[in-house]
Amino acid sequence: MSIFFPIGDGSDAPASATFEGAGGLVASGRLKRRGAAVVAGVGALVAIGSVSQRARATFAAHGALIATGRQVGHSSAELAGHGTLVAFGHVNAQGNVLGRATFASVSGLIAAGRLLLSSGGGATLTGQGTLTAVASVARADEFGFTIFLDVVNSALELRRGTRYRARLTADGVEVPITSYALRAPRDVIGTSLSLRLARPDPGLISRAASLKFEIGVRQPGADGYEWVTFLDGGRLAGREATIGMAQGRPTDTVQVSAFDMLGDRWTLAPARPRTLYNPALISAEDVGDVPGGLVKDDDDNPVTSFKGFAAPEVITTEAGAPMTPVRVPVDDLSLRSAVHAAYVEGCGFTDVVTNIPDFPVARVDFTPFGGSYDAGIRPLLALYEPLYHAGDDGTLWITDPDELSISALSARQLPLSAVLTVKSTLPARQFVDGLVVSYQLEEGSAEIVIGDRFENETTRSGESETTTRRRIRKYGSPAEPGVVMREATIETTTTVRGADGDIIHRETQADTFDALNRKSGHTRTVESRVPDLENDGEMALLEVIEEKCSISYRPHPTRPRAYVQDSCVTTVRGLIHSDLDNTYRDEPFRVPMTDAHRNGYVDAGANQTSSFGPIKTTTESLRVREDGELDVSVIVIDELANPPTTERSSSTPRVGAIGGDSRRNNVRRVLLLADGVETVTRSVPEISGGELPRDLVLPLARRKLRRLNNPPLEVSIGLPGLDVSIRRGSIVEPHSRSGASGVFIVAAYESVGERLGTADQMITMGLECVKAGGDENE
Amino acid sequence: MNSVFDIDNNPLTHVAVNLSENGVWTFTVGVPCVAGMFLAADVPEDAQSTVSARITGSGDPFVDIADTPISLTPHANTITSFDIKIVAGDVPGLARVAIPVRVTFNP
Repeated sequence: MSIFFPIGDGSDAPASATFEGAGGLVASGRLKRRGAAVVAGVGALVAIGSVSQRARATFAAHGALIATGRQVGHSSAELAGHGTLVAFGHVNAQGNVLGRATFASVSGLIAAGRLLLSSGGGATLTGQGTLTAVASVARADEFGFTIFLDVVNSALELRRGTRYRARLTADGVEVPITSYALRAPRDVIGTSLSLRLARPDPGLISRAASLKFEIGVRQPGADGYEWVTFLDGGRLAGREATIGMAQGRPTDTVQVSAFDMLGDRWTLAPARPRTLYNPALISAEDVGDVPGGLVKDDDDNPVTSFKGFAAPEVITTEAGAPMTPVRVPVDDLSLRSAVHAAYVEGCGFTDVVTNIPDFPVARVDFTPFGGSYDAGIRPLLALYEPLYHAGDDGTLWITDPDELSISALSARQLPLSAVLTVKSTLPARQFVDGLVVSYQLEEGSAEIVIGDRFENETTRSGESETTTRRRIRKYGSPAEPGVVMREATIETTTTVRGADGDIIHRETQADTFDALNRKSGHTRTVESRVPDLENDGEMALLEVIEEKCSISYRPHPTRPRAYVQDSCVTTVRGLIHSDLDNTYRDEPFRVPMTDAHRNGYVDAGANQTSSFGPIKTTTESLRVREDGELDVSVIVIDELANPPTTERSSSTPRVGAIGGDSRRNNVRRVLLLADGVETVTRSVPEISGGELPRDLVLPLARRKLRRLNNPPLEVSIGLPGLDVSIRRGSIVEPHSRSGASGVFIVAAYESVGERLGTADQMITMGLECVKAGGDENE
Repeated sequence: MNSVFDIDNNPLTHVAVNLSENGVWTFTVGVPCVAGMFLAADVPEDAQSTVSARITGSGDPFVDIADTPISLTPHANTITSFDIKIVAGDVPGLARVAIPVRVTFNP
């Protein structure tokens, strides 16, 4: 039934309207000036109302309730319901105006409220069960940009006639070298260095020695060298000693490689598995066991043996002490705080500077077993394909090269007179029609109800006709409210009619769901044609069963992020036949009315009554024995027995894949099409957005799609000397024969020095650069 | 969410500048001005560089926004064009620093 009813068309007169109904109700009302509306119903209720100026609206419902209310001025709205409540309210849409909104419900509640700066306003959200509330104070966020500044002393600039010296010291003592190869690869922080010693003595550098490698630069006319350090605090990584003879003379060599302690930071890891999680997004129970962490039994005790579990290996110390994982709740955990935890607290950088936008993160896992701090963060940043480089003050720079502003930057010009070679490469492209990207919806808060639809099905069997009517709820995203993201059947009504067309049986089941879209229970009512002892035994369609089911879940004890059903309690109340002339233990003998009718016990002329009360309680408990196997115990209590007694008790094993992923239900997969493509004709690759929110994932995925079809231009530049001011992250503008050819970021470089200290000394440098700013390639 | 813009009206998050010592670089940005906010910079002490700003076309002297943040209240509810000038200091060798430029209530 649908009713649209404006109340209070603007006059000062109080107005009121009452809507009551069983089953679905859609009501739209508008209150103005001291009006009141009460909307109450059983079953699904969709209410849309606006209240203004000392008016009052009360929305109450059992079952699903969807209410949209807007308060302005000295007004109030109360939204209360049992079951899932979705309410959108605004409090104080204007500044400096009092207002109050109260949202109260039992079980799932989703409320979005916005508070503006004003005195005396308030919002109270209370509820039992799952509650997700999003509230924000409208105060402008701080914003801005970061200047990444490289400054070089003029004594270090590469000019014609610049001279170089390479110097290696071990524990402060110089060790002469004849050649070096210095490599700063892409996507890492440190460098790799290999050198040939001038004196082929393997004992010159010990494993414990602290190594320092410097390049000295001397400009024409200068008195001495300006030294630039490329490696400090390094260690001997490897050594190769060769003994040889040529033309009667020894050609012994010793080649060493040095280990860069700065680069080694990428392998730093916590002492034991560590998970940071946002308690507002997931609970400690949902965090469960961290990857590579400890297995626990059903009572949450650490398990130090494999008994009963065929699950992730238990890692212990040599003395047998289990490596207990650490779970740390972090309020407002976000990319920035996760990056800070990893690279500053974990890896020892002084700070992290990035131009990648911040976003909420539910959890981040760090483990020493096959992982590291860096490995825990990389999935969060993968789609950005960022560049990593270090500042001189110990900071780590993580930059998205596509966000570089071409108009604002200052690039090092590299005309043809300043270089040896310039090689421009357009990487091999793929022809891709589209890309599927998956991302995680924010748990429990990103869905809105679009509406309901109905499905009807009628079947005939013998002389009876069964009609099944399903109410299917459509859910969407606030970002795209017109798009149905998923559907769920929330109510099913089955009606059976006899040969005469009268209803002989009707049952309705309404399901409820928690914030993770797991079924949390149901209410089922059954009406049946039975004798009505209140009406001389006349046959009537009476409610004979009311069943309520409540389901709880717990984390899977051996699979991270998975859950299993913990318990299911079903209480059945119904119409009860009592025979006062037939007693047991001094109480009337009682049976369900349907049983009494079916067995011919009902006699309107006898001393019999009917009442509504508890009939049966069924409790199912599930315990994971091994991965994929459960023990299911079922206890049924007969509430009609005198006294109540066990009707059935059993424990049965179940095999097969058991458990669900607490986050799988909230994963969305979207197909993006390339520009100009209307339908897919080729294989479509798929990428994961991980924790990134939808509004960041989709632009990045589109960028990825563009790059697959049109990869960024890459340039390799050979320099005639070593320009010590050019490092990873430096911005350069090489030239072609027709002039400047665009702005590029140095992603990697290499410098080679040979015949050091001789008149034939040669030192060169090669740069690997990628196009900056996300421009289209030519 | 607000953002500073470059002259091509692209949101600006990252400006890369390579300078010789005592070098100067100037660029123009558009700043959405909100009452109560300031244009400020956080220059590290050892950066030996300055970041200053003035309204484009005003002819006013540049103001060191690390020392004296510029109030945006007089230009509230407009997008105002500012010239940003970076002056590199006298560095002994190589210097690489990150300098945040913020539009903030708390300079």
